[in-house]
Amino acid sequence: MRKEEFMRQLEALLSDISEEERREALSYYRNYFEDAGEENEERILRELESPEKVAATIKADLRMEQGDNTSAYTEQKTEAGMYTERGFFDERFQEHKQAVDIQKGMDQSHDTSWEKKHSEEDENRTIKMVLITVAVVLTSPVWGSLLAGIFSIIVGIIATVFGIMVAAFSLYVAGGIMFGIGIGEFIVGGVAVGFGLLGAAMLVWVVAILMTVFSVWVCGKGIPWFGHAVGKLWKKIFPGKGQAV
Amino acid sequence: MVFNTGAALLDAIVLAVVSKEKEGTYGYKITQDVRQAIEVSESTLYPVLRRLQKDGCLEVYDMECGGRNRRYYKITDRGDAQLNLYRTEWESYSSKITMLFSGGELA
Repeated sequence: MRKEEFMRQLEALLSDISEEERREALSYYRNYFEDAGEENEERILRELESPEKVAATIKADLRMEQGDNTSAYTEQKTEAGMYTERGFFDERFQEHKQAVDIQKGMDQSHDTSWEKKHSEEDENRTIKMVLITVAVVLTSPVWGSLLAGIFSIIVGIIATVFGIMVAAFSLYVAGGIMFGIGIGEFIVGGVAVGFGLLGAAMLVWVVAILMTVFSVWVCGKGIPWFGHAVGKLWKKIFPGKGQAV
Repeated sequence: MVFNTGAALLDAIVLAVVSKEKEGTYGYKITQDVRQAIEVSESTLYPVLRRLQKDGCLEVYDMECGGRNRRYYKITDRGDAQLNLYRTEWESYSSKITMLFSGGELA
């Protein structure tokens, strides 16, 4: 491409910005070619890459100005910093994105740099999510059965503890009934039967208390210990993740 | 280059390059001078120059040169003040980083 062709295309690409901005930009690049001299023309055309890219750089800066003309001078600088850093990055590694920008043209003129960056971040996040989902599905047989195992152990322990609690409760009740009957026997029947029933009631209560102590111990110490053990196992299986967290 | 050049640093470099020329300087020369310090593509500087001009840090004038008009950029008082601010900031920033890299203690 010759420089005349380049300038013609650049002018066409800049047709949607203000007359003044277009004139400024075109005269800058016309000047630039003239100052560089014919011997450098080819090198500069190569380094500028394409009129599309040059136009995108110019428009990106104009967009940024429009997006934020109320904030203070220093704040503008900060935002410009972010944008231009992206700009360098775009120019060298992400040419498609800028090319797409041109085609969309000034429809996006209200896009602020922040929004653009934000949507890129969103995109990255979406890609990450998709990758994670794929990995999760692929490895599901391994961790699926592991999770199922751990889950069933937890359910088993909870069920056992619950059963013991119910048993303890019914023993308390049974002990209470026996105690009541024992008192009744003292009055109505013989003293021996009464003592026997009272003694049996006490024994039943002792068993119930032991069961209560056991289930409280399991809830207070056993389950946290189990959780800890599972955590350790998890770290052994996924050492990278464990350290990252 | 490994390190990114942010907009503020790029502004500072351009202001420094322009301020060296009392009579003003032009786009192509500015690009070549900036390139002695950092890598920039040929298309990077136009938006920077245009913005600095709009912010009142640079002023432009056209001068006849070899039968054609050439646009010159010259630093304004405001640009000078801005450049001094950048110099001070850079001084403190770079000395801290240098200190850190050389293993010294920060004061």
